Amino acid sequence: MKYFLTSALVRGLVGQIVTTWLSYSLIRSFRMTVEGWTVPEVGLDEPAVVLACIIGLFGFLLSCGVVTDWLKMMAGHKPHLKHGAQGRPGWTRYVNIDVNHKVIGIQYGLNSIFILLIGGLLAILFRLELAMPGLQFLQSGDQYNTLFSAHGIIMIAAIFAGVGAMTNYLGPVLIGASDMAFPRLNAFSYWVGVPSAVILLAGIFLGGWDTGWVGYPTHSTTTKMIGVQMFLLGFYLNGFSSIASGLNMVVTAVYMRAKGMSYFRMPIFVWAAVAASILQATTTQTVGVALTMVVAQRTLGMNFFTPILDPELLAAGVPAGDPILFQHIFWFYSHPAVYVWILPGLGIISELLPVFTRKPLFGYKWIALSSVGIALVGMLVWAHHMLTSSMPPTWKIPFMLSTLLVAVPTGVKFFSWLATIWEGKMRFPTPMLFVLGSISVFLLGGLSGPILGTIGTDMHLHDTYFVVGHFHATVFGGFVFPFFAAIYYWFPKMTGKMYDELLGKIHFWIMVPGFWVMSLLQMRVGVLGMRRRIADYGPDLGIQVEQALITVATLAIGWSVLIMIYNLVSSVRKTELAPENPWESRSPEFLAPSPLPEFNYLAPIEVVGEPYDYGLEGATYAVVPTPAGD
Amino acid sequence: MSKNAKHFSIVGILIPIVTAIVYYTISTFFFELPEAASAEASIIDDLFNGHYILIAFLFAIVVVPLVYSISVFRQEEGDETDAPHIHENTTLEIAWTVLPIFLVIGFGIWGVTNYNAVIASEPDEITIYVQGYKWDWTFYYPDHDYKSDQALVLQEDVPVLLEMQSSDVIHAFWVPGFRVKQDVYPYDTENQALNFASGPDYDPEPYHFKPQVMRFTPVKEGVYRVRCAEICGTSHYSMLANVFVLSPSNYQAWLAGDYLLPPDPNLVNSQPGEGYYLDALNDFTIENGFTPPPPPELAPVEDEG
Ligand SMILES: [Cu+2]
Ligand SMILES: [Cu+2]
Repeated sequence: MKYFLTSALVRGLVGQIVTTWLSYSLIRSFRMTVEGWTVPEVGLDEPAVVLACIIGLFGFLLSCGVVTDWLKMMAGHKPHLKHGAQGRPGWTRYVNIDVNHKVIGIQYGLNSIFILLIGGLLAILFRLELAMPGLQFLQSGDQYNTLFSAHGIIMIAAIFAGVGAMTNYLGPVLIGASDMAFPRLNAFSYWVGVPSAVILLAGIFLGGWDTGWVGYPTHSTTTKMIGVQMFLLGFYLNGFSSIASGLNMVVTAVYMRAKGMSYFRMPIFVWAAVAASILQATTTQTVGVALTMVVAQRTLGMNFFTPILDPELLAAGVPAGDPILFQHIFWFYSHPAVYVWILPGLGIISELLPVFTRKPLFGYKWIALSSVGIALVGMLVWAHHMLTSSMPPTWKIPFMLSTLLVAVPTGVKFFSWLATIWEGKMRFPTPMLFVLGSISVFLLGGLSGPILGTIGTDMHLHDTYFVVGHFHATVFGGFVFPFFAAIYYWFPKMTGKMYDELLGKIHFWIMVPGFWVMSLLQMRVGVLGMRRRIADYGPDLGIQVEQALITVATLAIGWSVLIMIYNLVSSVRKTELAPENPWESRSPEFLAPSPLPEFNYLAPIEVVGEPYDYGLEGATYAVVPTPAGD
Repeated sequence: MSKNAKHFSIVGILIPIVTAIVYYTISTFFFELPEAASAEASIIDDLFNGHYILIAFLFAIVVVPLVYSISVFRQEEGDETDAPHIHENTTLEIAWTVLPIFLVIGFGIWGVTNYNAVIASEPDEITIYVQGYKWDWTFYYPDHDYKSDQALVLQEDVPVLLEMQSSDVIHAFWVPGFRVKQDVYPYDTENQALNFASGPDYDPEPYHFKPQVMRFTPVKEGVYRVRCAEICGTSHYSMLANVFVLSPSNYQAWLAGDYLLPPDPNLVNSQPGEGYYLDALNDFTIENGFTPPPPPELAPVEDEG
């Protein structure tokens, strides 16, 4: 307890709360005395909230100590990287600043699951509301709107943390490195995400907001629910985490690969992680700009998005804004963002299939390059989110065509997976079940894509539950299920213990069918006329049965995740050790002891063959040379 | 080799069967669209149908080999050996990269021609101004100087051109039975005088933006609903308005003030979906606490003061 209370996490949170509160009171009293500001109806001083949240972030970073080393460097010192638990119990590493990539990976993972539970809880709340027509227990549209908006952005934060978990833990290990290229930046990427998540969560209670996770002006610039500011700031600040960790991963993969590991001998997950990291490091800035502009318009009275057309105002020099502008810069990031989540997920599928089919990955180079292809095409499709906007047809048509093109590299992945599975001697432990579940669910997401890409059909489906179903299928198939597969698969590597197979299978057999029911029915009600983001629907659509079933499926999904958490927690406490290479994998991390030592391999590994040569007599991928003099 | 030929022929037979079953299921039941009530809806539904065939086919060519492999090639009890070392086939890889490109081009061309047909203008359109605001719709008939607060009244088989704008935030005009959807943007959030539905003085010319336009031709008498499809705040969910599509004689009577809405119950079709509304209204809405908007009233603009 003493260790916990003095940990970086607690210090940071206390620092954030204290500095936020102090600076809010200071700014507010300054504004009251000097500017003559009076307490408005909502009670909170919006500009003061914004400034206080930003100052609070610095409060967190300074008091948790993640920037201490950099400050020392600025003062001319040369601080050493600290490794290990610094004399404290081992678990404290996860709540303190630690530069080891595996610790950071697990921190991301725990954070991800924690936030995932909060986001899931919000979803269950509004699903209960939607089970029947009429408002049952929510008091107003505003409450509902806050719940679904918060669900969206909190899940996004959870997914980014999950991506961070996979790339950080696996990236360096799979390429045979001892750590990431920039360990301090890596720790910063993780820790800056924590106060950002706190700001997002605080937004729910300090006013809430009703803009959805997209925050389109002129609604987001005029809504009275000031939680929208916390949403914008939390989203924005999380972006630092993305950019920094993206750069870190790219540099690590380029410079720190093991001897003999050419690019086309990297484990396939690394290709996917690099493609995703390039997207992260290059597109996040635009959403940052979009969010900043909304904050500036709300707080500083600048106009970017409100079209002012009164000739007198125009003559007075007030510039006209354009609400479409926001949509362009927002989606320029937010479409690729989805690929930042699913590329690593698809990478996990490609990584695990050969192990459990006992066959080489079919078309390794094609799969590797298709990740790059998806990333590149993904940067040219953003306006397909705006096919019903006031954008002219000459813009809509090229985006329709580029969107359809995404099907090509995605198809390459599917067909290559099928060829890998074909004639494979398949084994079905929990990770493999989740891999197959991912493929099936991602297929639902993929098949429901082109119909949203052609303008005519999208005019009917845009902003309906069909999109909700499509999106959830894409994200669950492309990220959530592969993430779970990865957790089960590398659990013995991370902890040295084995999870409980029966509970894992129960988790799978509840969650994946539950998800199919949920997502297919969401698509169905969308086709019938159910709009997304509505607190209530009339019985006139004739969709009550479907809505009730979707709610039941959501509850099942929620319970199954709790089963997984129970499984993992109880398995860590087991005394029995897991086998050294439980999956008979050829991957290099299974050459090292479990859990992995501080610097991963006892000596630098050397790559001498192809990564996935299952079924080839005598082929080896990597070897650990015996250290000289040992 | 002959063993493999057997596997391939079973999969080859199953694929068309599964395609047909999936296509039948989604097109006649699972993803059945609300009844097409506009000329554009039929055009769009053709494209929907094409997509349904594509979905069924792609589903089959992935799921059939997947399920077949899982059931046939799985590890046999006690067999710890690896599977055959097959790691590449460049011809196959090129084939499944290039063939989808043709599909993409095909659907791209279809998508463009389809879209052009949907937005094409008709010679004798009736113009109606639509104003969306939190959280309702107003319709103004410039030719007749009528403002209608709760309902959009249209004549069967007569094409309409909607000129739309918002008074506050972005809304979206959507009637599922008509398929078409258009986002509606605000001109000026400060100056309500610019609300063109508020009077006959509307003249779009001095302003910076053109209003958002949408065209369609209602082809089926009935009752439909406009559903705002862009999140716009507290009561977004109930930002609805009735649409009445009347026969030519009823429409003329309505214009003359001799026809009172809501219309003749015969107009209501009993299919779940759009036209279901009035049945639902009589049967269970009040019980479930869902309050439909009151029956529309039409008043000449002058009376509004
Ligand atoms: Cu997109
Ligand atoms: Cu609206």
